[in-house]
Amino acid sequence: MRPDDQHQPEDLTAIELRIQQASDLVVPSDTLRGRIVGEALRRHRDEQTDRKILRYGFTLLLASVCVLFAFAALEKRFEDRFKPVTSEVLLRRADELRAEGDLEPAESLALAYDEWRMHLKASGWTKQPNALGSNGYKRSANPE
Amino acid sequence: MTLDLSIPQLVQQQAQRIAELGSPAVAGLYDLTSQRLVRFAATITRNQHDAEDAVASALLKIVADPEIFTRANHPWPFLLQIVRNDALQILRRKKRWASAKLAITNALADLICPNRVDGAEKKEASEKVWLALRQLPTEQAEVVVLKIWEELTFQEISWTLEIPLPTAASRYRYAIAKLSEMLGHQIEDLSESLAGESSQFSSNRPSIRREEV
Repeated sequence: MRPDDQHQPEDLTAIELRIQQASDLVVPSDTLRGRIVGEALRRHRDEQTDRKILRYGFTLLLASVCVLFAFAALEKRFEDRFKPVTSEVLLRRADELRAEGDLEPAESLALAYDEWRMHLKASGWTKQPNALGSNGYKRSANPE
Repeated sequence: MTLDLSIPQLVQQQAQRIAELGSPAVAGLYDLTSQRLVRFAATITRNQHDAEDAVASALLKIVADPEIFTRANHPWPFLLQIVRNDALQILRRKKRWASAKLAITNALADLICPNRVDGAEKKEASEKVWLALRQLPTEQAEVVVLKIWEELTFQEISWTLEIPLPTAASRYRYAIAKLSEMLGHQIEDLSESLAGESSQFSSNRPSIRREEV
């Protein structure tokens, strides 16, 4: 026999209504809301703080990289490196000198070379032995 | 108008709010569902303190990962399912206190009941229903709670409890049969008064959905 065969439908409806009426007997305790909502707000605050720290950290990192790049660029900009003259430049200057005066090619080339040497001397570059033992140009402390 | 919406629709709304505003919006979900969730969990744990722990644990899971809730197709049965799982977990943890649980099966001392303006008589009647529910096996009691108090369909109940639909229906039938035995003598006493109140009751409260199974 099925369990509800012994009951009339109206009995079942009455039981269901009876049970339904008992639904509001229990209420959550006063502290439960504070416990859940407080924890939710705490986690939300923590998340926001984490997000802020991450954002500020990333910004700081980005700024540091920018400053580093700026310093590197400045250093490069003001770096005083020896720039050797090329034969092409010397030959062009020799041609100019030859055009200005009545000079032989060898004379004009020697003159151009002398000019460059004078320029180096005036800028304070002198030939000195470097750490590897070969001669290299270095800027002297008191250029003439 | 929110007053016209059913609980599943209101829970759906809350899910959308949580998706938009994040975890602080869980307060709205709590206000909407706490009483229902606590009484459902109390049916499983047979103890309000444990039931509240289960509800807190379930809602905090939603706070930790709101997407699991907002992505659910049916948030209300899904929420009930989370609460049930947490309640069962608490129950398993407390299995060694099974004897203590048995002791409170026949009492309602753990429940927090509001001071009702409609008198002690109704409270007494409600307590008898709760006591009768506690006499039922948990798997039957939870089907009754979901069917009558939460007004879920057997399909939703079977999904929430992860049982086949016919099982849900038969558990309900067995539970109602037992409850009618336990509460039967009171039903006869109350049938006359219920008949008098039925017209007023039907206009104030949602009727229980009858389903053919």
